[in-house]
Amino acid sequence: MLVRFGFVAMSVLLENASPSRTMTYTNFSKLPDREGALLRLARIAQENLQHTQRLLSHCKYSDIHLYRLTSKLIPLATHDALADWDPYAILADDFAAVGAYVRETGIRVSFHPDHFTVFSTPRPEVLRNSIKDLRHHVRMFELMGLDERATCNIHVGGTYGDKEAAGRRFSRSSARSRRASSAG
Amino acid sequence: MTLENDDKTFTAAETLAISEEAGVPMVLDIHHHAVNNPEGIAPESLWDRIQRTWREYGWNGLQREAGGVAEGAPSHAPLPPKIHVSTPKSATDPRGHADHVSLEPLLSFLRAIAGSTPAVDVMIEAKRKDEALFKLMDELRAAAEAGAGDIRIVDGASVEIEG
Repeated sequence: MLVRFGFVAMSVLLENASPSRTMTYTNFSKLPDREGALLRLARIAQENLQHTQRLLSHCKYSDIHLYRLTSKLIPLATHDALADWDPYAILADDFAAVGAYVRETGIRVSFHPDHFTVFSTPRPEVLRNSIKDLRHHVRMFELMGLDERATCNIHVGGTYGDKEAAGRRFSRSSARSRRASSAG
Repeated sequence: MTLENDDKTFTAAETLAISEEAGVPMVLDIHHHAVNNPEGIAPESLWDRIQRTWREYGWNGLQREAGGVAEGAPSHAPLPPKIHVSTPKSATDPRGHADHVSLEPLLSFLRAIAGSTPAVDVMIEAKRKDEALFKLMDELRAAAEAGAGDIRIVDGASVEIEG
């Protein structure tokens, strides 16, 4: 049996290669010029993607064949107050470059959306945010030009006092979300 | 999409049932299983079914719909199943992740599935990230050199375990 090992998101051995630098919304909202502030967010995301490429290169030269991408590549990407911001178009080339390198090296990549992505939830607003978050991850894979072998890994979620009903809600909601986001 | 067993709510057996029903591959987290396994199920006893959730997934989306690969479409070998491994941080925080991963109980699990599994990918979830990976590889290398005849080092981050 062949066993291949991989690691998650960041390296403790490479210096200055964080793929998840961010800006808090508080700091963002303190900037006087909103357009300029949005450009700053995009600039951070570009650096995060460049660092991701360095991390993938580190994987390649260390024979590491699987790597989990950080969910925090784009700061404030799914923040409610930035719903009118489309970071994907600005970052398309940067994502495409990372994706090309992933295909060239054959490294198996994944995302692990955080524990707020819960398809077992009975609450419509939590479900809405979960779908939005999953779509965000799928969108990043699409910009990288990766197919269904690049996966988003999630948990079933909470049980809300009735495990069976929660499981059924998960199956229903996740199928709906997968159709909506073509997340396979 | 893949589905992972949880350390508090849905156990490996429950997650597997939902994976099968939804047609989604399951990622087995052996640390989560160790801390959320009220029925005392050995993880390897679920493995054949977990492995099947990966085999039955058509990775280019076409295999599943057409019952075969459409003409001109790239055909992909199924991905190896993926598992997660981490080590409890401490007795008081058994769900937290330690800096590194212990060779055991991972090696025992890998040996238990080696005979029925062509390949498996292992995601290391440790505070010390890539350093934890290299340390684990060092330990596997040391075990092989110390006479563990079923372990062969393939490259800097892969091993072959004889089933």
